[in-house]
Amino acid sequence: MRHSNISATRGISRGAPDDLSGEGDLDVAEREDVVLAQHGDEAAFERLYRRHFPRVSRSAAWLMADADVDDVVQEVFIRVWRKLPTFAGRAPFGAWLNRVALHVILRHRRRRGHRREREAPGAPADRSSGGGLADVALAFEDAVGALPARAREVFVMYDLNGIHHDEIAVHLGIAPETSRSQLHRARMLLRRHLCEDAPR
Amino acid sequence: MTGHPTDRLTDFLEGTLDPAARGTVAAHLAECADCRRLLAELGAVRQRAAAWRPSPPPSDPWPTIRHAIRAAPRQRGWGRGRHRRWIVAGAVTAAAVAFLVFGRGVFRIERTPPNAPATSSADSALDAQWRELRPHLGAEVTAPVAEALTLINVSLSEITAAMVDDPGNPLLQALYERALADKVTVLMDATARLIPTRRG
Repeated sequence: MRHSNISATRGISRGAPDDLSGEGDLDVAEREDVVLAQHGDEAAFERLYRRHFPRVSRSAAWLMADADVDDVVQEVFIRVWRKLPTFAGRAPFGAWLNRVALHVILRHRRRRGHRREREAPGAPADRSSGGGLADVALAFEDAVGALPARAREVFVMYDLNGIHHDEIAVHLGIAPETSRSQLHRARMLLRRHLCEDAPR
Repeated sequence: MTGHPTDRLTDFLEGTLDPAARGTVAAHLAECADCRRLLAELGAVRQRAAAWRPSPPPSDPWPTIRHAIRAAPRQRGWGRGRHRRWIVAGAVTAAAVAFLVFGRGVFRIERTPPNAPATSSADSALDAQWRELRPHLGAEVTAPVAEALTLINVSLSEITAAMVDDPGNPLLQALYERALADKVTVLMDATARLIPTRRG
């Protein structure tokens, strides 16, 4: 079993965290599924969907109101299906998918207007877990969801989806320096959640 | 050194500081245990984000996605050159229509309204007109008209698929309108053949 280091899990531009499993066997399986899905294999596409849907769904929830998430996620994967024959494999599939998803999500935001995007997303209705690692994941997600809107947006794009500050700046209509400062703000706030003995 | 470079620690971590600033921060870190600790905590947040495995979303839209992709046209793997190829495809279609049907120009007909949406209902209306018209035409007219309409429909579906990827592209919009205009031309000429048939 192979566990990638951080830099190895960065994808397209700065590198998206596409290696969701950290396991080489799954990477090979995913490449096979990508090829199969490119040739119209629906079962292979469903496997790709199953692997990437949670990340896309959660990112969409963080970047826009929960009410629109299902519609957006559907559009993302329908669009991925349509565009899949154009995927040349130069970047990891997960990074490519993240980018497609981001474009769809941000287009929905623009279409909807900019007011609601500043609202903090509510916590998912069902936050029960099986304990252990699941609780850790939920705690992290709750902490991200509690970030101020702009800091959350930048953190989700940069740290969770591998988008460069320059591109984030274009998408959000802010300066790259603002994107960098919001990332710092997000990490400082998250540090207080994640590091028990960090200064409050 | 006076003051802690707290606001620069994320950029230091990301390697986005210029060499001079990086040197300054590094010198401070060598002397300041508090900043080293903060840097380690920010690094932990970064690692936490890289290792994030999303919790299962509350809903699963796969059935809707599956239904949609079964009906969805797929984009061809044309990459960067696809728009250029559209020009060729549009020209070929227009020429083929002209050749197959009436051997004369097809661009004299008035264009459809310029504000026709990318996925216009006008196309469906034209198809309905053809279904209504077809039983009243002789085989010598029906066959070339049907072949021409098939060519145009292939172009329309592929242009529409390209528009999904690039919805604001004016070239694609123009090609879409041109293809619709071609369709109108074919149907109008077919209708013109209908009148002598009825009179005869």
